[in-house]
Amino acid sequence: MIFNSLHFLIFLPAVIFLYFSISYRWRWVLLLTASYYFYMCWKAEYAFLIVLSTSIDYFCGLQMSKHADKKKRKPWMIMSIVMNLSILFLFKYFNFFNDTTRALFDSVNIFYNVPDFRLLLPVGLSFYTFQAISYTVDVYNGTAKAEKHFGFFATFVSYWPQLVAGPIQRKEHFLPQLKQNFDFDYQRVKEGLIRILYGFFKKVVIADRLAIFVREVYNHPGDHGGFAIILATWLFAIQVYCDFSGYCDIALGSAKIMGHNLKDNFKTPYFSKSIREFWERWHITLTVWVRDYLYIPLGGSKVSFPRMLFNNWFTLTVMGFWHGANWTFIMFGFVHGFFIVMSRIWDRYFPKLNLPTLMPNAKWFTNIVLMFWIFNLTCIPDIFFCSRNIQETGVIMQSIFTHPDTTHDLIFNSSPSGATPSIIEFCLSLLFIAVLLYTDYKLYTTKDVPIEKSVSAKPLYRRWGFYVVIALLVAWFAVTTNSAFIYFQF
Amino acid sequence: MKKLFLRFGLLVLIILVISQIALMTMPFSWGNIRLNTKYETYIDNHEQYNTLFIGASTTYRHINCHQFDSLVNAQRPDMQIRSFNFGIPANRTPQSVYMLGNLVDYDKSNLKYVVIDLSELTKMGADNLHKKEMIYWYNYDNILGVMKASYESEKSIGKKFSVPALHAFSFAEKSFMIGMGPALVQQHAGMNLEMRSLGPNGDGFYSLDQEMIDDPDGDLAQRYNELRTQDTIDYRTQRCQFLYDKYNNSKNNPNKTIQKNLEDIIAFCDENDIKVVIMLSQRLGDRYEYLIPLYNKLPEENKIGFQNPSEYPMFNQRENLFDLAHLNAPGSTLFTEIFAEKFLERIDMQNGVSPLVKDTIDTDTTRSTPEDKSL
Repeated sequence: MIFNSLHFLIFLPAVIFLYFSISYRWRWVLLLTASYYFYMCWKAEYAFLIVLSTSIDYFCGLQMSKHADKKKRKPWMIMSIVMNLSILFLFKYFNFFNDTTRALFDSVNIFYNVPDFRLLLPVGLSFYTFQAISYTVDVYNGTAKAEKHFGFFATFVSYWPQLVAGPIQRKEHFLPQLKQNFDFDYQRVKEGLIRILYGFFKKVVIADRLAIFVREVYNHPGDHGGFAIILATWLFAIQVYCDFSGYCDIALGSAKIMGHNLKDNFKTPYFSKSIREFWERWHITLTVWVRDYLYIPLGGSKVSFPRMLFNNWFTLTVMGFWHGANWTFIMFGFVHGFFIVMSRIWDRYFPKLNLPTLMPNAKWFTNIVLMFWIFNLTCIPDIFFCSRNIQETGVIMQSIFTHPDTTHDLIFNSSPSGATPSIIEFCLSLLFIAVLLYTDYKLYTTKDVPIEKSVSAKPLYRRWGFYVVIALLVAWFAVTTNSAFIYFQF
Repeated sequence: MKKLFLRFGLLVLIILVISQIALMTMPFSWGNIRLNTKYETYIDNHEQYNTLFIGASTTYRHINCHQFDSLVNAQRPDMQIRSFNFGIPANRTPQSVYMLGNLVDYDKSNLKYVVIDLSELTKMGADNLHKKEMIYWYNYDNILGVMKASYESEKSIGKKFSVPALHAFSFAEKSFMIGMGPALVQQHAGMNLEMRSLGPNGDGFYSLDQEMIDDPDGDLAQRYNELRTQDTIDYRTQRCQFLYDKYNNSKNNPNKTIQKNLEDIIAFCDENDIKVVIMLSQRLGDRYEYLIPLYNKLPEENKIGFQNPSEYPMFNQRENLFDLAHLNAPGSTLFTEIFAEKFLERIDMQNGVSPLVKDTIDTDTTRSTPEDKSL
């Protein structure tokens, strides 16, 4: 089931109605059932993987809780991690490694014939696996207590709003909320609905509309060139932001209605003034996960400068690989890692050459220049992210300089799903991006107060103005093709 | 919770009202670019036209207005026929009723003759949801009739409920203009026009051959090449004949709602002093089960039928076909010629003149025009 479907528009009110109709003691049963139903609507058999992952982690957690000594807990932690990563490897990475090995053997004329594993990648596998691993490691480290109640634990792993694409939650933050009694609260439910509405605006009005132009370029590498590719890459950067943050808004809004406060994933990332700030504002729960479970165990920043640079670069490359088993994602992370390394070197050796230091009296100007610079910098790895394979990335990058400019074709002759002329969709896209920029700017200037809080604090006429305008935009300008969220594939 | 429902309801009501106001700013034809082009052209020159053809692609591609006018006027100069072709692909009978109502509402003073192409109900499946071409014509007057007709028309219990439900859902989508914002902008930006679809004479007739010449990169060339093998044409003809023979009897009952629709059209035209003829084109045989009983219930003077392949073999000959469902330019010339003749007969019948004593139009003695068995 995807959020932007009629199915979900029936599912959500039904679950919420039942949720507030039953005693809080039994709500976990409802949430667990709803979560598995939500997941099984996609492919019922793969629910088995969640059951398996949940059972292993529950069992290992219980075993670890019996021992105070870390040494005795360690085997259980290793077992849990190995099992989780094995499932992840088998379904997500096996074919990639197999193909790479085959290519390597072929290059030296050695026969290699291990067949590929032809199974669909389970939706949300990377997300719930990471969530499960964080639980095990936290229990091992003693920062979280093992959950004794299997039902609550299973609900924690499979909680439907964040099951398929996060935000990745930590046990100590989220699981206790499942045991609390949340009564129906008008203000809270209203805020949840505002967040959902805004999420739909980002997804079905902006992201799905921009996809028309992004697809046109990235699905036909070699057919476009010049500024058209730069434009499509800018649009992709906004598309992926609206797509993923739109998903998170719907997830957070749905959870909020039920009283659950999930960790947020985005804080106006395109207003970042450095690449490090960008990663503090983009896919926050994954960044924090990687920081806590990979970067810090590697030594973090409490090591020599070169080692710290390596840790940064390695962590981001792994994070890129987490997205998918493809060289494009590895390169996505690698390039981001390279930028982080360069920014750290620059800050260390050329601190006086930073723009704000050079122009201390032109804060507005330097902020805008830096934001635009960082936005463009993050667009470079996005070329890898958006391409289907590394060869196509090469063609696309080359076409920027060698192919005649096709911007006019892109704007006027792309193929919208309906019969609307491409130029109208393009103008609408620009208009909606302006709305997004305005809203994000407002959030940015209010230190990233969530939109639902910000709107709720407004006077009545402005509040209702927001409801009516956003609801109208969602109703009238939704792209109704029910396209899946980009991050569902991870 | 009551407070939430009330406020949510208020928001929905506001959106509905604004959407309805926006819809009022659009012409009735907004959802179909070809229809909209034809309508805009028609309202600019409506004083000139006294005859309208309303229907699907079988009207759009087969009735050459220019030729029709010449043929009829040569025979009956007093009629001063000047026709306009409002045929659009995939148009259905309830849509024709909607179009006719709107065209008459716009200006009925010149209108004397209307020809409506009989076609099946909209094939409403989930894949047709959200498409403006499918839903622009729903309104409070016709939606219940469409749902009722679908209920009567569908065979399986599941579809008896699911198809009307899809129509109802689409009606709600139209009411709230779900996803229709770009169409609104397109309409008001003056970009909801495709002048080519008016055809070379600007009267709404556009043969498929001509369109293939005008748009060589379109999918028509593929259709033309793939579907015109003799074996396929023979199979098509046999199937069509089989289905015609099977359903052309009194055992099959027509869809009561659509039958009532057609009777209402005839009565409506009578009231407005418009002569109406309902035409049934030759089909692939699909939905003959539904169309032939309807056709058979119509009064003789109000109908012209081409549904029987053995009666009109020329429309199954390779040299007259563009694809399996449509005639090419020579085929449409032949069709228009025969149609004009039949049209005059029906108008005479409506005027109380016996068709047996009138002169017939026969400009081409070599064609194999059959005897009209109804006479």
